Amino acid sequence: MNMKVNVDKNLLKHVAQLARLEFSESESDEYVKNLSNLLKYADGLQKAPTEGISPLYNPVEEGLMIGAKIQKGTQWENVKVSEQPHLHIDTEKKSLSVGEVLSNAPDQLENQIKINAVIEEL
Amino acid sequence: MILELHEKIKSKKISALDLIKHALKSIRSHQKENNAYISILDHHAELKAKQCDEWLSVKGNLPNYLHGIPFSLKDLFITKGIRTTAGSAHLANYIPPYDGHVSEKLQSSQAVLVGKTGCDEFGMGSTNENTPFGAVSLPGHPQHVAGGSSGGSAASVAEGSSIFSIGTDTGGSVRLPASFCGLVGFKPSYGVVSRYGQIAYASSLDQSSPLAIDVSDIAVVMEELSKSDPRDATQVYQSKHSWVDVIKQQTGKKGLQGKTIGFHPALWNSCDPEVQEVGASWMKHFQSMGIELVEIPMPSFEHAVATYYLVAPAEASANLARYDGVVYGYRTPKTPNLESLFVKSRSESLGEEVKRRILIGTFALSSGYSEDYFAKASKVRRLIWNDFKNAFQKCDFYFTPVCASTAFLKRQFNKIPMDPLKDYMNDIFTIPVNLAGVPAIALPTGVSSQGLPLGMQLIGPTFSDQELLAFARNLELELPIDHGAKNHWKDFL
Repeated sequence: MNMKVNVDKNLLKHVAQLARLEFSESESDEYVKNLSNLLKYADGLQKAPTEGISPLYNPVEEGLMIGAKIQKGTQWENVKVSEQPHLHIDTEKKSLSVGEVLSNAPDQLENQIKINAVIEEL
Repeated sequence: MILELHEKIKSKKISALDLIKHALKSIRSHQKENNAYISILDHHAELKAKQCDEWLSVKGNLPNYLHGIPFSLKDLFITKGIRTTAGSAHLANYIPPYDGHVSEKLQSSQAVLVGKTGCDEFGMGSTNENTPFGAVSLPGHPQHVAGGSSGGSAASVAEGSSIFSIGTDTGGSVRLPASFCGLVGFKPSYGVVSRYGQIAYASSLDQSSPLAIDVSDIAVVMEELSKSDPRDATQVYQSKHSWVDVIKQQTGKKGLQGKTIGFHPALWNSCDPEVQEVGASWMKHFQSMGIELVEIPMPSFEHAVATYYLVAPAEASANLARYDGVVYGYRTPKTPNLESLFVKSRSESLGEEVKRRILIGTFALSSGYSEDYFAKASKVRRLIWNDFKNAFQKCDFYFTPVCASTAFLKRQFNKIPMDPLKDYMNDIFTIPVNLAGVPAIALPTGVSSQGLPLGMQLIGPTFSDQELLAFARNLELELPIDHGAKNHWKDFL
């Protein structure tokens, strides 16, 4: 299967809008060319035999079991899911003060970040 | 080298202040030519060094091997009260109110931070040219790049202004500059070092990674970096042994005999002849030392670059959405409404390559395309993982070059027009490692006929980090490995 997405200025404009970016005319031409070349190259992926293959989003999916096996020598695959190794549980902890958090704010007012008016006056 | 320096400091033959003064002198003489640093912390460093020496006088002992050792950090690591730019105009004035894991652990070990080093913006690049803070030169070769994205880190060690540096490796960003600068670069398995306070590029690929002059120093630094940190849920592995003990048990040839190394000729064909020659001579050495070589194909590697350049930008597009000019970072001066504050703050401050990757990633995740691009790439990522899994049933480690060539010419000296896709191809040997989350080490091999360093890569199975370092250490003792940067510190050894 060949994807052949036609990258033109309209598609670029749509994607840029989603990403909250804007470009000049000449930048747009360059990005259309770049995106088009990369996607043409990426279409080669369609040749890769992935039928029946589950996606791998993060190596920790595999690492968790491998790590536990090395450390504890257990065949975790045979253990109940609820008892299998898992990412650590989040616990509540004191965080930064308001002053520290706001120390890099571009604009602030009375301990809050100041931005443009979102709701106009009636 | 750090263990030797530690003994000298402990017995008061040298002082921490001597080392730091030497490092700062080296920064002053090289900064103009190499541009390794974005921020130089001379006052901070001298003060810390004096405190280190006072500690020794008062307490009479040193709690840590890194006590008084000068180091640098890629400017992608959050440092409390010290400007952290990520190599971006967007964060040019950002002063973090907290410390990340890496800064916290190294500074509490009493290592002395001498500066924050230059990098490609948010770690996106392999030449260190994608940044408003200027390109970093390969020390001794002003027309060549130090490599990227951790180019400043590599140059700082190669020029002799820090003894080790921490970079980040998302697709080869530590191993490539290590190779270009004649250093050792180690990417740990994903999940060994906490990513807390490492400015995120692609969260499932990023890993803090040390660069140093030899393998022994890497192990000393890993002892600190690998410490447990509850603030990164994906730091799932704690090593069984002390990293320094692993290195101290070096056995030379004995530790090499009987090991099996996988390789495949197809991966070498596209490399420069000199890279191929060095690889072939190393493989001869392997055999003469009783290491068995096995040909193992990696069919998925041909798809690695395309997979990476969909997955990494997809994650980047989400991670970089936070740079909207509201809470911190650059804000455009005058805007009519909130929407344009987001758009203009981002568009005016993010660099060309960063925008390119945000666009690719946003596209790959967008409605109507995500199945064919992001989902497909994530399945191919599993194929890459499977290739490594199968390979490591037949061999202990896998051998490849780090890069098909030595250091590239800077764009201004290169007559070939810039082509992003061609640049991405340089990462072919390093990218599969990050996609699978396995550990890998770049080792220096000496210099090419043009005097440019080049490196070889050994890859190990998930969480074999200590075995890989022990093996690399034994190799380092047996092979003619060039540690040129050690000469900068010869007066102290």
